[in-house]
Amino acid sequence: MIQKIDPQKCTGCGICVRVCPLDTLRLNPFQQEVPPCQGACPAGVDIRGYLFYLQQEIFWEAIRHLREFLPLPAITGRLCYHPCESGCARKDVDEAVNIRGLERYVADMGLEENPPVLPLIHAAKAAVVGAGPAGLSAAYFLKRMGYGVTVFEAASEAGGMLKREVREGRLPEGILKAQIRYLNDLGIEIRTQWPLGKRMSLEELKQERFRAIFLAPGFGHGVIAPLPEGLVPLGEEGITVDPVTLATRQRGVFAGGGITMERKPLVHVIASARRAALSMDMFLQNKNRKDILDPTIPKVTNLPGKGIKPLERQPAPHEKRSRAKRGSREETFGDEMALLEAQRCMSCGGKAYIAHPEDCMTCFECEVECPSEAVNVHPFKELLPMTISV
Amino acid sequence: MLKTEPTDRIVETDVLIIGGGVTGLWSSIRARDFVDRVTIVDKGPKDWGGQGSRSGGAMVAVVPPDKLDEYLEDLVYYYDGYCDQELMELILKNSYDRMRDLQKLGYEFMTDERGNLKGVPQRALPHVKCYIGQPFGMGGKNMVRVLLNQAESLGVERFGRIVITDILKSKGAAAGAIGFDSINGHFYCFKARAVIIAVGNGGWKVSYHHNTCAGDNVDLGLRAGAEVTNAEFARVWLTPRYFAWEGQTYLLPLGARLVNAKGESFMDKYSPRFGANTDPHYVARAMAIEALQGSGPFYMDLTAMTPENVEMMKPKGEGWMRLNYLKLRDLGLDFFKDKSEWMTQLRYSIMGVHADLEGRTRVPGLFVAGRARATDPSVYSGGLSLMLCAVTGSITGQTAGEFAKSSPRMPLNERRVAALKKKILTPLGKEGIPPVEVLREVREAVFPWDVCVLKNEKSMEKALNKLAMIKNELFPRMSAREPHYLMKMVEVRGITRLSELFVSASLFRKESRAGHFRVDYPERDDKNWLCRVVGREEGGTIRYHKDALPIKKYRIKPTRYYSDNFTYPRVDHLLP
Repeated sequence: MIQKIDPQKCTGCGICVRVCPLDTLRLNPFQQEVPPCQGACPAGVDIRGYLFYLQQEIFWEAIRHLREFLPLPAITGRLCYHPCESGCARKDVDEAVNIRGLERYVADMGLEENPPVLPLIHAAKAAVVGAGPAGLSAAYFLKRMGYGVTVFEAASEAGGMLKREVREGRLPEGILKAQIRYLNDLGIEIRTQWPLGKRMSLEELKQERFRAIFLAPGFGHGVIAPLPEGLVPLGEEGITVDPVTLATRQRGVFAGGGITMERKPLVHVIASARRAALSMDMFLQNKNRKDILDPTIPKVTNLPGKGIKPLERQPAPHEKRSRAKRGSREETFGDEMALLEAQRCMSCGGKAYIAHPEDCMTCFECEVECPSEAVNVHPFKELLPMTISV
Repeated sequence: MLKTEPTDRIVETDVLIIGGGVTGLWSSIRARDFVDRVTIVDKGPKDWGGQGSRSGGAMVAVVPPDKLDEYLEDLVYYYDGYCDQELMELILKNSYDRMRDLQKLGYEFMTDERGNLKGVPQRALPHVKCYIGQPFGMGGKNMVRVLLNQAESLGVERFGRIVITDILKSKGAAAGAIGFDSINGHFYCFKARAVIIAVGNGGWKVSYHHNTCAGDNVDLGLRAGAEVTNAEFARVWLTPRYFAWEGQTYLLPLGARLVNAKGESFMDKYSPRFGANTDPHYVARAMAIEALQGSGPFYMDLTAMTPENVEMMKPKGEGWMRLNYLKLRDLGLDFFKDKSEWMTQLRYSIMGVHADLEGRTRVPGLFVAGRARATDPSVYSGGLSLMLCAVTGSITGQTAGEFAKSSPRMPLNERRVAALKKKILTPLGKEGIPPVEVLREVREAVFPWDVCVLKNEKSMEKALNKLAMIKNELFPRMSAREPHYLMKMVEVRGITRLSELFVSASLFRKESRAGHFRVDYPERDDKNWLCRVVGREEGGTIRYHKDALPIKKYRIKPTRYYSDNFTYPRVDHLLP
């Protein structure tokens, strides 16, 4: 009967789980140590986790898990430069997993969903100035934490820099609209044609009981006078913020995105918006925990790869087309291809465990097939009723 | 594409094959000659290949210039005359073609120095030759691999970890099947023009080899309206008490001795001709009698084996046997030096869904192939299984393929599907008794020797009562916290049904023959019982009838009987 799966030796490859004819074993991908893909993702997306759900066709959990990390997954699933894939350990077996294609697939599955309004669980409210990627992301994370959030946007529509992606053909308008609608559904209020400074000053916002304010009006959009004391800017140097907390020098005011002059790819903007949201939460809860904002994250060291059969990487439909025809960004993986591709994820650092020991019938299959010598089956079999007892 | 909750999966196909083992794979390959869409669904991993993947990959075949009639005659003798000669002839006739198919697909059989196929004669069957797959001991996995590759290249669609619970019918004909995914709980509905049951034989999910055999074949078949036969036959095997060991068939002729507590080769008393080197059902009877007389327990004594033979029989290679051997040695148990206790154990059932030569059941559109149908009275010979799985798998693939090609798609009663779905998934998420504990009770009822080895009326009646109590008291309290347990629950229900069939058919057959031994009817009775016992479900109960073998039509008239090599003392007075 199976005795033990040594977590030190187990790499998370999942072979034992897949070969057990009695479905005795399962994999737990939710571990402290982060796999290389997650380590390479500026937003720290738990790719191993949501692909685990996808592998098992538990779609709803895959979407739910992805959304814990990404506010605009259908957009990052199209526009992200996927640094995760350069970290993917599968490269050493054949090719990296098509993580962006899968992110897009998972995100698109939930595109039409009408989520319920998230409950308010905090007294304090937060304001976000600017409905571009940074502002929308910060608003999303704050809303998930249970704050009342209002976004103030100078333009007549939300989207900010993302609208340029639409104009230039890299992002379908429908996707942007669907993602913004999703945020609205969660209970995030977006007020358009509401330029800060013209309609209301920062001080006046505070009078409206917005205790924390995130400034993300983008670059070149005027956050105009009257600028609060010390928040100088908007000249050539951008606004100055604490690099860890993203706090400006004015209490309760944080800033991110283009206004800080950091023109970075989308996923970095999201990462910094998430950090801003965490930082604002700490401010609002009077917590002083910089370590949460800048944690030391242990990495998976014992990577799978040994004994893994090569499997062809599935290109996403838009990747197969010629450059000229790349306009159609509505297309995504079909179910079959997505599931095939998801199976290529080796869930690095996940741990197999004996979920149903009572079902083991000592066939040794898991131990024979484990490439890491992590499985130990005791050769003594189950004590079944005796046919002849002597 | 909103997938925010479990959704129903509808799969349309031409031929649906339940079971992705050797039989199902052969069926799928053949069926593709007739239809475009062939789908395999298995309760185990998608690529595992069923029980065949655990086998040595050895296969019996009539390789020219060997004569088919000599094989058939051996089998008629071994089966005590109870041999479906038409079926066995068909299987033997096609065996060499299937062997060559396997070779073409890249499967290798052992050859001699001159490159000729090397057949190994079988115990008690001098003409029946078995061909060993390469590499030795790993052949089963290889055979599955070449068949999988072929099915894959033909575009056969495959689903793993899906438990089929019911065959769907439309206007009296099979029109598909339903089930659920044991990992995520998705409900599946397969719509098909023809359905093949290729789930293998049933059993009691015992350790190692046959740990997946539940009651799927007869449970699915009976509820769909098909008949079951050979329910009274089950395989009783010899095995070490505490661990698993394969290869006794080879050990015994090489000097291994099976002894009782007194150190006697007790089988010599019961069969001076064969001793212990015989079919295990005959040994099991002797062991039960010896134990009743206080001569148990039993041991395998290898001290008389020559060092060369020990070396030859030491497990080698990458498989589980060597791993097992080394682990035991680390525990201080050297299989070849230390005496190990052996026992007899009820392992799996031989019963199957009744079908004609080409695999048709009495339900139009429903077919059965391989070990899911009944082919023998449970006496064992190596390599017969993979032969009959290959041949019947292939033939039934053709029958079902042709049927599907000429049949219109039948509409399903959606309301009935919805009702069945509700019924299947209702136990999910409830607290209660885990299925494995109910399985334990079922085994307690049928494993004792007086129910399955020295069968007698009183003990079997008691066993049936226990099974009825299990159904009444425990079934309603079984729980399935997750889809995994729902699968186990379906299996336990199937195993309970199979157990009832085994005991009740054993009661019905009032004689002794081959693997079936009644203490109260110890003689073979050709006049009344050279027939199949066929069971059918009527109003929730099983009714049996006899179906005589057409001996007059058969070319080989039974004159010799394997069981005549054994004599047992009367033990009525020792029964409980």
